[in-house]
Amino acid sequence: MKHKHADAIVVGAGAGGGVVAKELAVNGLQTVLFERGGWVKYDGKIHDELLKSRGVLPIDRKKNPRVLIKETEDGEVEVPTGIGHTGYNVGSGTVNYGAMAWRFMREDFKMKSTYGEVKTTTLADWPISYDDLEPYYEKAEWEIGVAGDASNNPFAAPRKKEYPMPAFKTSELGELFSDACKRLGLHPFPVPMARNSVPYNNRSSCIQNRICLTSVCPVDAKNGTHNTVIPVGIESGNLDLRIHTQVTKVVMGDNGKAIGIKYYDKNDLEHFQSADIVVIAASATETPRLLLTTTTAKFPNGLGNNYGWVGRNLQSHAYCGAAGTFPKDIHSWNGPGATMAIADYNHHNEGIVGGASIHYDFHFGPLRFAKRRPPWEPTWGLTHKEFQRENFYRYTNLRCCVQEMPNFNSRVFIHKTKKDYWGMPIVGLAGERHPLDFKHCDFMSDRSEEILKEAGANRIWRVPGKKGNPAMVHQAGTCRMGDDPTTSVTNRYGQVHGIDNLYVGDASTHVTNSGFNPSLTIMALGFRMAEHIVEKFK
Amino acid sequence: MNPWGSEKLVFCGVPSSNFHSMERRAFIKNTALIGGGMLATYSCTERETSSYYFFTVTEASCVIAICEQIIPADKEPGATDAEVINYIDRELRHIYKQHQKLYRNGIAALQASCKQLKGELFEDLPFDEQTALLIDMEKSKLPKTNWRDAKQGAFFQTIRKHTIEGFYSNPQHGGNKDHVSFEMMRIEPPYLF
Ligand SMILES: Cc1cc2nc3c(=O)[nH]c(=O)nc-3n(C[C@H](O)[C@H](O)[C@H](O)COP(=O)(O)OP(=O)(O)OC[C@H]3O[C@@H](n4cnc5c(N)ncnc54)[C@H](O)[C@@H]3O)c2cc1C
Repeated sequence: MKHKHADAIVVGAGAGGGVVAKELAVNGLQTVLFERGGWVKYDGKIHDELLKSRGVLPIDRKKNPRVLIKETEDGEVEVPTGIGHTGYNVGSGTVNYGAMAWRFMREDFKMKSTYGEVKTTTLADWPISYDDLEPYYEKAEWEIGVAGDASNNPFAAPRKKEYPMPAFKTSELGELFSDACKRLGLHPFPVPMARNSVPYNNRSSCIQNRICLTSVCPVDAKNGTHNTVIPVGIESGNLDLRIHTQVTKVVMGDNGKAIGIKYYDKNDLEHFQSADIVVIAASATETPRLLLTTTTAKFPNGLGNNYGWVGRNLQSHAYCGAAGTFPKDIHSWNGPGATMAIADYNHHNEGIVGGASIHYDFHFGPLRFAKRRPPWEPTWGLTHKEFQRENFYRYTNLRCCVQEMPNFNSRVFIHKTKKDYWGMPIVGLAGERHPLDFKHCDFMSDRSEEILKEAGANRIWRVPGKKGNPAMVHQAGTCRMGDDPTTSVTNRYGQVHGIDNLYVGDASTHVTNSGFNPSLTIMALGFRMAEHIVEKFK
Repeated sequence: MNPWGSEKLVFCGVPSSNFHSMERRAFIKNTALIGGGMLATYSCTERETSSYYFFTVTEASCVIAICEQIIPADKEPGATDAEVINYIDRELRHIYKQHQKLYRNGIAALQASCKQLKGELFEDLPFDEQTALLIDMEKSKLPKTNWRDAKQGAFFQTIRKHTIEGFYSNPQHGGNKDHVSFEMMRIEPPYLF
């Protein structure tokens, strides 16, 4: 089926795609936004830790199989995997995320200039600086809605405007963490949150649910693209959101430009949509798949892939830290937790490249607590039960969002023979975290132990960084931006080198992924890219 | 045999037409609340019958004993009191369908191991002997000959995970009867999390 020609197509209504689509629409471009999932609304799942642990809208793995290349003693083996799937709904992960809304630091855009050449990595500078992105961070903070207070964080890069909402008050656990940090000479500050500390944007303020991370907000006080930019785009009359559509191909014209996309609707009918501009924002594992599955005479190895960079440098964060229990209750389970953090160790640690922010964890319920045990504790039996009974209110863990070293080997590829439900080659994942990441993790676990000790924990254990492929929820880096077309996939605006109307509008363009959660940066890049497209289009 | 591989008692011998819906609901409720073994009272034939969707009565007694090992009763209720078996039985019908075979074969293999080593069924052994057997099962140390159709370590980890889920999740899923685990952990209503 064919449709009326559009000015622009955006594939994927997540963090990046939602922002780009809205900006194009409100600036007068007739835009079609494709999303394979539908709307998620709050339902009883908020009250149910078990259902939440199974995902807000779990992806159908039968229709969307993936494989992972594992490195074993006998060489590489291919195994089916469920890792690295992001959201499957309007707003994607921004509906159920923890909503930490950080700006990256100046150094995060200048990793190579800061640390020099790091062998066996693809560490590089971004083609843009923090200052180039600063106005768009501000736009993201105000349009999405972020509560924060940067005044206590001496490491934050300068900002022109305050946060639109005051920071959340911290809890007794936040104070315990902050006081310990201060005694150690560190600089705790409130985590910036895309959550309403006061009523904002005609929606209510947060009611401090006990569990927020992984939940859909019952009062719509958590801000993602689904309840901010996407509705604004639709209201403009120029945004046609087509849900339950699976995009399978970028269609290229004889002139070397993208002319549209192919997709399947809910009833498995194939459609063609043409447009002047095509933006792919399907996440750092799905975007490279779409590029790689389309080949032309000029791009025999996939769009933008003449130098083999599409799908490479897959990164997320090597989370690690330490956990501990205390001799008395340290919290009363006021949700959602994770109110305070430090950025003292994000850069300039001796012998370490990069670093990590540290925050105490979000709260969770009895079910997930049953998995939190020191390595020496039994995982069942009476002792396990006693630990559960005694320590639920006496436990916390510190989470370090460790910056991963980009490496060429960690990658997304398309499978030669295996196809998904729609006949598209499936995502393959290969490569592992860089060995340097474990050095960072060790360093950060040491720091976490110090803080817990200072806070008075009587039992402390390390939570080491995990080995394996980094296709996690913070996935990024697989279509990196750069000025040199031989070592990057897109230019500084996210436009694919050599195809002047094809763009990448999600975390794929991140050159490096910092020591912070990535959403606000993805959104800021979306605002910047959209502005560029609108100017060019006019 | 029904598709779940067990005999079902529900409504057997009681013609549904003259079985008033209220009584019927009470009947289902009661049978669901009573542990597997007691159902023999309602049995309408000589066959072994079960109120469970998946487990047979004898399988259920074994599973109940394993669950009680994972979360034993002390001054506070354990897995049996919380009716964790109902949770597992329900989930095996839906979300854990893929584990049905592991349970069926795993239970049989554990019983075969117990018969061989102790001459008795698992559930009939003293508590400490059961514990020792499960420690071996966790480490895959039970006689290999009995475990041709199931991996013992995998069976242990699966039932361990499911027991913890049933005990510590919302009662609407079948276990954690009367919120016993929440009460034990000093979690106050409303249970909104
Ligand atoms: C539980 C959880 C907690 C998180 N916590 C935080 C946090 O505290 N702070 C933070 O910054 N980040 C957090 N994140 C991560 C954040 O959600 C992601 O980094 C971000 O959403 C990625 O943005 P993106 O635009 O790259 O891709 P996504 O937001 O994943 O968007 C991709 C969209 O494309 C759609 N799509 C994919 N393929 C197709 C196709 N072929 N056709 C049509 N549609 C398609 C997907 O359904 C999806 O909606 C969290 C994520 C999760 C899941």
